Amino acid sequence: MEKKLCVFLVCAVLSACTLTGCGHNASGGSEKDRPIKIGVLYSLSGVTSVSEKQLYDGTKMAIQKINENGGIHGRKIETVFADYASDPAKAADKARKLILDEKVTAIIGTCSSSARKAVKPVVESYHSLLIYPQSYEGQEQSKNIIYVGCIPNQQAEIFVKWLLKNAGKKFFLIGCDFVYPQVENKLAKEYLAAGGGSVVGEEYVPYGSTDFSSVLNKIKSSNPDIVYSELTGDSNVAFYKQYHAYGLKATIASLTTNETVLKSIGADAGKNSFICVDYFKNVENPINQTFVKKYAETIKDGTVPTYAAMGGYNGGLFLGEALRKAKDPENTQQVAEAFRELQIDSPSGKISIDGKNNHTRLYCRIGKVDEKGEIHVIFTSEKPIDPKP
Amino acid sequence: MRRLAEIPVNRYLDFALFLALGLFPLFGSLFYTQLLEKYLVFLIFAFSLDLVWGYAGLMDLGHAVLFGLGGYTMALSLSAQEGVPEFMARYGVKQVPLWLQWIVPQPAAVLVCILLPALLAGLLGRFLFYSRVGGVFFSVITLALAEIFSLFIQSQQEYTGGFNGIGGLPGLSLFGHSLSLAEGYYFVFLMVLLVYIFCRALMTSRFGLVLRGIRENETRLEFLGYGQARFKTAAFALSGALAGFAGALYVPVNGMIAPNDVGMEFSTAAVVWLAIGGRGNLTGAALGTLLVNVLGNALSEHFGAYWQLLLGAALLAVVLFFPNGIVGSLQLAVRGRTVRKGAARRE
Repeated sequence: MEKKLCVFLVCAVLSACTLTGCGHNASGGSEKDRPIKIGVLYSLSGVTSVSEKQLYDGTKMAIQKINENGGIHGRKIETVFADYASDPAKAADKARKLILDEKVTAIIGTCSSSARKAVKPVVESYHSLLIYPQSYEGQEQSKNIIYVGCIPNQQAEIFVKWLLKNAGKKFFLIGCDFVYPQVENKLAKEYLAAGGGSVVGEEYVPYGSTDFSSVLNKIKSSNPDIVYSELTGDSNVAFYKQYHAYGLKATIASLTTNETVLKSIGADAGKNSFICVDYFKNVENPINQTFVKKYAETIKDGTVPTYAAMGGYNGGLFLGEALRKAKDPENTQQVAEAFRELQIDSPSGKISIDGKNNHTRLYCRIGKVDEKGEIHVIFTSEKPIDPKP
Repeated sequence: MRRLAEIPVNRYLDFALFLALGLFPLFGSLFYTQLLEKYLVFLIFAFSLDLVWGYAGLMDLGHAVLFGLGGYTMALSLSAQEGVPEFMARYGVKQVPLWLQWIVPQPAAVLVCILLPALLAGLLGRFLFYSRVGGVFFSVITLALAEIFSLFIQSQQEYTGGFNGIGGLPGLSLFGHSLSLAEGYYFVFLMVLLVYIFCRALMTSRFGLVLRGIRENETRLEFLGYGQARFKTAAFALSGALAGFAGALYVPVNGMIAPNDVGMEFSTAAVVWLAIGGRGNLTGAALGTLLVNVLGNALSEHFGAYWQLLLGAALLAVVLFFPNGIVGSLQLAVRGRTVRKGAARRE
């Protein structure tokens, strides 16, 4: 027993040493070449890690690009990463740590609305800044948060109108049982009522659920033209597959599917469905072509850039521009001011921040999936759409 | 000298732990004090689990349900202080529901936070222990309960905030005076001390003795006239009250509560704390809770995506090599040494 105790003590001491050993390396030097610290807050572990990895990769690429091009007036951006394991309470803890202990100028991160809502009071009480890269349900504004993803009036409103015109009138609404799908579907019903469409059914499944047999029966008996979906994660993949296996014919129209999800779904189950987001890999412009190439070289995990990766990337680019514009890039207040009406040339187009509500003017794009599982961009809004949160 | 040596080793550890926790805010940074304040609340939760698992031998895999009942009650109460909370208004709730009006006053809320989980635990005990459900079946039932509870919370969006939980809540306050970080920390610290003393007293009392007797040999204790069901139910209900109290403290300290804090994940996390620290002596619960949380926090900072794997490996190592947990193994080692010394002296 004593021997075991010794072994244990040695282990404990060793682990304590390694943990303290890789602590902070002092960032010395004069103010001019000292790096600017920003926090990067994503879950690379836990249930949302698959989508957050894309956000993370996008952000990483943006910061890399800024640093390669000479940084912020010669100063490098130094990122401090924190993983919150898909737990909102931990996200708040980590945000506090980044602000109080690491003294970062701004934080870029969080994915689900629950995590953002947990971090919101933290950035507000410490007068810090969060750049939120994901699309969400809207209905929120904060002077301490910059929202880079699209909100319903830039996505769903246009999508529903387009579907009514081009695909059918009878909608079946389905989503996971949390705030985002509920709000989206509530709005979809309003848009449908205004555009002369109808709702023949509405179903919610628990988050992460993968059994759709009863839902598919309901869809079959209500005979819709469109199945309008905000399913996420595993549920989304399972739904497409079971829908295809069941042999239903109505078109699936999704607000949450992207290239990575489509790969797991497979071309057979995914073909002919519609997706509406602000960015697809196949967007045609020179900036995007360079970006897609660069992405393949940097992120060597076989994925292609998605709207999530683009959210993370745009967030990073915006932050870089704001840091450049601010007189003192370490003064959060000035950086936040610099975001007003800031414009960047992103692979998704020329986009800008609406100073009235801290949301982003984004393009709306609709894609159709072909037999090979590729998404063809069949609709792009003429100009970036003003956000109305 | 001899009298000092007779004090069990874990009592020294307790003393050292509490001393360290008491002094921490004087030296620690703002952020770590805040983090530790949360872990202090977890200590109360761990003590409550130790009552049922360590002392009564009932492995509760859904203990976070009791924590969550207290937590959500407190969160609802705090969110409704100034009329209809935002997440309810979103679903068209125009007026604060009657049941919520009752728990808006803080004393009432605290009372419900403690009594409601105790009642649920008591009811569960009434049905399970009196029908002689125990061992692994008890664990499975509580596990299922945790999953059901978390799904229930997620589906009742207009009253629980659903998946997003209830957030943006005010911090700790006493009699209308909101506490600063240091005040809050020492308030929670005092609560932990009181709960610790209460548990210690309870477990050295006749009740605690019978409970441990039932854990070791149920048949014999029943033969002696101690009904197992009565004692187990009482222990479970008490533990429920403490877990609910921990939940009630957690909400103002953390500022929010979400389904993550009430389901299977958090329940099993607490089981892991106890498995690593050691069961049935409170010290193990305290040490395990602090160690796993502090280590988890440190690992997540340095190992990005792999930190949970490393934590899992550490857990496996402890369970394989120190099945009694750290404190349990320590006790055995110290006891072994004194026995050997005694033998040497006799020779």
